[in-house]
Amino acid sequence: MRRASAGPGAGAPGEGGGPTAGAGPPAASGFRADAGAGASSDPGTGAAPRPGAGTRPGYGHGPGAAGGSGAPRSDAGTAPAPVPPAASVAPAAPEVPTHCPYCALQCGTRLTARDAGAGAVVRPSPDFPVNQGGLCQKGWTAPAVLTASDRLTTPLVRDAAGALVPADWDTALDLIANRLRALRDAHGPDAVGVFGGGGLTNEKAYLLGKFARVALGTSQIDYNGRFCMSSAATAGNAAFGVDRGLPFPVTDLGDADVILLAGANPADTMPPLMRHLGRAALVVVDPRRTATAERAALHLQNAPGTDLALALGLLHLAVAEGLVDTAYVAGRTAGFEAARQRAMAWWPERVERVTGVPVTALREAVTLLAGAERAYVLTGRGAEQHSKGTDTAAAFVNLALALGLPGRAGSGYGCLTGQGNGQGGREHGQKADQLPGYRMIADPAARAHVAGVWGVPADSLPGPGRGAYELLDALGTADGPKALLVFGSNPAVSAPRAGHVSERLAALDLLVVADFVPSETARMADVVLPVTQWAEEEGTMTNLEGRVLRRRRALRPPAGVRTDLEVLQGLAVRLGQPEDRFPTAPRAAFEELRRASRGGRADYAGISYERLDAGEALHWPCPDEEHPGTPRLFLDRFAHPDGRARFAAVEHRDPAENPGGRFPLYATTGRSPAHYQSGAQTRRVPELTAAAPEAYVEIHPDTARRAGLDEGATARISSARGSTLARVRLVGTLRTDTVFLPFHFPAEGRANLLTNDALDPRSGMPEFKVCAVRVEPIGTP
Amino acid sequence: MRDGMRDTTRPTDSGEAGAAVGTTGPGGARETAATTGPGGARDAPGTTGPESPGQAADAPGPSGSRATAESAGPEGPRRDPTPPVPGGARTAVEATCPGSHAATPVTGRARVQQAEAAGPVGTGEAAGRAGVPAAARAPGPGALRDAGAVTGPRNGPRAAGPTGPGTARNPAATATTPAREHPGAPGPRARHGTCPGARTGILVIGGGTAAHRLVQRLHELGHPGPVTLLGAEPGPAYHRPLLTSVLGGGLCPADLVLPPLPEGTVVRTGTTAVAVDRWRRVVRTDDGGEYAYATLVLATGARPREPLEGAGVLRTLDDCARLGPGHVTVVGGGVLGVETAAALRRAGRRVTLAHPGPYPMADRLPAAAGRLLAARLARLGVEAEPDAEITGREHGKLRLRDGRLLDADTVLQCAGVTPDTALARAAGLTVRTGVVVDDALRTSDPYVRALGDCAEHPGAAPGTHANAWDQAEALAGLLATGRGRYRGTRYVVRPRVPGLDLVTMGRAHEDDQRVAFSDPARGRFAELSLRNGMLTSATLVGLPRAIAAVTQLHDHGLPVPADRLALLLGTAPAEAGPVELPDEAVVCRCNNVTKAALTAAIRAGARDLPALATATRATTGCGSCTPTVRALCTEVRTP
Repeated sequence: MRRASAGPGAGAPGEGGGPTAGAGPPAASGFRADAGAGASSDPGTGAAPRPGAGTRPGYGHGPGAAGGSGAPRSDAGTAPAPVPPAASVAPAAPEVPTHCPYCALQCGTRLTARDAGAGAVVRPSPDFPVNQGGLCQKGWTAPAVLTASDRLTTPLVRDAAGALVPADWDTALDLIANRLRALRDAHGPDAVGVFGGGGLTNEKAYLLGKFARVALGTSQIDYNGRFCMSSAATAGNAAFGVDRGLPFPVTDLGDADVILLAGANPADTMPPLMRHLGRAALVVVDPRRTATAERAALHLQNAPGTDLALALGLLHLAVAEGLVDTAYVAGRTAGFEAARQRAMAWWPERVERVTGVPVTALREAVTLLAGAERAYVLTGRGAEQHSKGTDTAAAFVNLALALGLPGRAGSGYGCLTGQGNGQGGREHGQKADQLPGYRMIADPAARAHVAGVWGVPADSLPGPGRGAYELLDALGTADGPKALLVFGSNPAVSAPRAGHVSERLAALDLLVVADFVPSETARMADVVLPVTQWAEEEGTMTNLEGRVLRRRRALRPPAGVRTDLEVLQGLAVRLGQPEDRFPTAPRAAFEELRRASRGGRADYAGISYERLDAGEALHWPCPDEEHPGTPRLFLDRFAHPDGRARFAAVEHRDPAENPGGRFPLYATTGRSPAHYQSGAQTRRVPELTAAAPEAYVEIHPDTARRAGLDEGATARISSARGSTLARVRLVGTLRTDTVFLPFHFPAEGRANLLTNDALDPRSGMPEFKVCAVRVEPIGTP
Repeated sequence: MRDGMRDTTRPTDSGEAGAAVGTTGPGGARETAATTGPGGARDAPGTTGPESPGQAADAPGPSGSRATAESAGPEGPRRDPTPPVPGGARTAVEATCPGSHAATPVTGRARVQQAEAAGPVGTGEAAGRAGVPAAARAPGPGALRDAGAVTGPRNGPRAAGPTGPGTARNPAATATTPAREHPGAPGPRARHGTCPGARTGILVIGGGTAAHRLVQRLHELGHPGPVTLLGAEPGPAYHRPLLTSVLGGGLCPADLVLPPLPEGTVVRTGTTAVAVDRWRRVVRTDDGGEYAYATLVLATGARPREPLEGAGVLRTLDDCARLGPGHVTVVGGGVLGVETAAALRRAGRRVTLAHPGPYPMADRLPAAAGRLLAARLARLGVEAEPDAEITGREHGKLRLRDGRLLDADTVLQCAGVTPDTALARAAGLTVRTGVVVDDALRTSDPYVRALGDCAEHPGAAPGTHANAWDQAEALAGLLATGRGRYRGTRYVVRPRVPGLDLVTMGRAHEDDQRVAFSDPARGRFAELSLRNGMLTSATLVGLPRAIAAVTQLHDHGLPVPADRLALLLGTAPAEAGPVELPDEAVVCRCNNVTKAALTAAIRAGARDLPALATATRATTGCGSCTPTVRALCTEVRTP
């Protein structure tokens, strides 16, 4: 089938939304210049349609529009007008306790359904310990996505003319199943790939992995969490024998004296977390002076791609200053000598020269950390999204181990998981090399156990497949998948080297996307399946602290929409599977997940909906129903057989690409406070698009002036892989050699058109955080 | 405390020539082994074979090391040529180095020699001069002749190498040795003459940082061929720039040991190259071995200038250990002298720094900066003897040209180093101060490269550690992938003295634009030279943030920011208080609430924090804007 690309030629759904989208006329190729007009949508850009305020069904009525989206708004660019307090709402429907749909904090919220089709009202739960009554703008406005004007409510199938046209479910599912069967017959089971997401519930992630391995028999499954957590996960598993983002509850951070945040900007990306960081002196490692860095006691503003050298330098100083906790190292760890040997090459003056961080600041950082009674080292994507991300995370783990932090009450190492179910999503089998319970697919015992639960022969399970980027890169190639099923992901925007990835997606024989809005990837699909979203479904999520949470249904999904579990069953049955092998009830799926995870590293066997609904705070592992869960891991031993944590012997290396020649600047990518991931959801929220309406690039004023750019100008940013267009924002605190782009924006505004697909050899993590670019005014060839 | 680390960049003590960082540190051989635990165990002669990189990491064994040092003496291999070698390490090495046919012993005999290699090099005084032309030393010519002589006895058991079947002595090695293109190739001539393509091996001479880094990077870049490293010192390689940290007490000698080299590397420590036969492409070693190469890399480093009579130098771990007692007079006004003096003070020693010129580093620093440096050293308790030109030593005192006599229980001379070029010179390669190399780090013989302190390249920063690293990186790329070139190393001098924030870099030109800042009362000084907005040179004292920032601008060739004062003072833009906030300013980032929205809500009746939070959501994210919102609340209510 012919498929439009995700670029400016992509068809946009007609104004007014709904499932009428076809391949629209080619959009105007010019970059949209109406800054700030978040409420005046221009679907012709290929961007997500931005429905005009007040024109959308479900907006502007009802007294309880605490979401703000219902409040009358003058125009974009202004702040939200005061809205009536949520508490004053007199809801007809009961308040449903659930959690925010976005990040891994999974802030507790209370949802009240409004009239049918009118979405819901949200307020923060005052008693959920992670957010303590707080909520960020994304959370407050999350219900707006429920009533997005272009919500998908009917399957779409690309017709002979190349347009996506409505179809009924049977037609769509039959078509998919027949095509998959034909491709499998012609090319073998690995001709079909599956791409999942870190926002899927545990139940979905679990059944997606099972669907791939059992119904499709393919090894080719991975998920977008590869782009988020894989480096920290690889490092964590190697160091501790298990990977749980925070091996302690978030609230423990509130008692810390010192916290080092390496490449994490929670003040922008997960604001309520900052409520727990108020007491501690923060040491922030970030090339940018972020909102988090602004609040730090010490900001180490390193050059992009040098976090590893920095971490080695801190370990060097710990050794040289006699700050290593030698009793802890001797009693609870292994491999210190080899790690220390590597670090000795990184004396502070050398680290200063490579990273740009003053020697005095390095010394201060180590002194602060080592002098604290309670200290934490936390990493985020800034340190991890590199072709050396695993080693970088490991180097920070090394530092924490040398100082004796992990596994000690009141101290520790953790990584700040990003996506909503970034933790659970990496535990239950949608990762290329894993089976449920964080079991490894190459492990015969793991295969036997899981195959037993699934009722299939162990040798029928495929082996490890390709990691996310390798999978995308192989699409439509001779030995790569010819079909791809995408659930809960938008790789046309979020994958590195996005132009290339879009080409690979376009080269498929069959692209199927299950989503609730027409994401950029969905618009490229041959078949689009409309599915439920957070407030319309039941399930569980596992937040960044390994706590399993109940997502509850607060309102009825629109007619015509099915759950992902129903989609999987519908396809599985058509592929010859027994119906009961793919339950559609989340509770039934979870019960099966419990059995499948039993005895695994992430053991959910003792966790049940009943216990969760009774209000128990259950962190995995929880091996049986009597078990209270494990809020704090490692207090007695680490998860390796000998109980010891492992240092990693790591060495710094340059980024895969350094600035120079035609591309003299570093580009680094990240998130804007107003948006989430590829923006497929948040770009549909007027308040959020008002806050950040379009792609922008942060540049130091000197650098902008030299490039002939001024505040508000449109810049073309180019790397060896492509160029993108973005509005200039002058930021005086940036390094003059670095520009920053958020990656939430579509079409020509995709920051990932620039990013480097160099991969970490161990985790498969792409190098999102550093590449070489040049910046010039638009119109420059 | 303090680590007393020395600088990344180790300038020479007198400007350009020579430096303190080197590769083939002589002299320290014995002590190195004796003091470095990890890896030291390996080479006790007669007990193990050549070192295995893997073992080096895992076998901390000071006693073994010491045995190496002490027994590695006169009864070297030639006197006791073939001690039986228990398989252990030797087997491991050979098993992991199957493709070693090129840069390994031509006849296979050198493998045997490896077992005893620690012997001759570590011996007595000879070790102290490992960098001296081999021919000038005892083992030199003899070794060359011996090469033939030892062929006989050693050819037997250990001939598992390229020449063929080996013997039953080393079944493991034989078993794991893959088929070779020329299984029967008898020797260098055959290889050289008939099948040059078969030579893929890289032979590195030098046991220092440059050599070590090169071998590591070759491995990481996937260089397929065999790599052999010949190091003169018997012990494992270590971080020479950190010697002052050992003097200062922050680090112990074992801390300095470099990580083991990648598996598969053949490492011959205690093996001194004595001659290069460029016609046959063979290197001869002092123990009679011969090593063929496809590419020879010279990383022979540098050695201290000839010291005063009775004065010590600081080049090796051995030098640290044998430092004399009492009051130490450090002679030399370069960066090593400064670092050494400060380190000794950290260790509680009485120290005098005797240097030419009015202040240390006088050839590099403007007067104002030099005075600040001198003052800083004085605060550390270093006694200064400026304008000191030493003419001799009398009764334990140093006599200066102007007649001064300096107390000196112990004299430590830090007077720079000279590239160790003897081997290259004897081989007929072009040598000026160092071995002359081009951008591909090729010497005048394209089969021979050189890097680190022994090499001379117009773009290099002689004698700096960064030099060795950059060149190792470039050469590894060239050898492994055929791509890249060495683009030079920017010259940065940053003494490794805790609390001394001083840097000087680059070279100014007459007509450069100058930016200067001097604040002697607060110990701050900066002078930048600019050309077309780019730095040509800079000197900064007492400005730690600017030092880091300016060094990056210099290293990466970046334009200097327009606000030079902010750059120098490391200041961030001032932030406005709530009162001065413009209406459109976002007060609550988490919920994107502007001052205008808050003001409007206050005027509409939201008079306190909870009411404002309900009305606007301000403060409900991270909560950090609470003080600002509260202030606004008060401000707007009480106009």
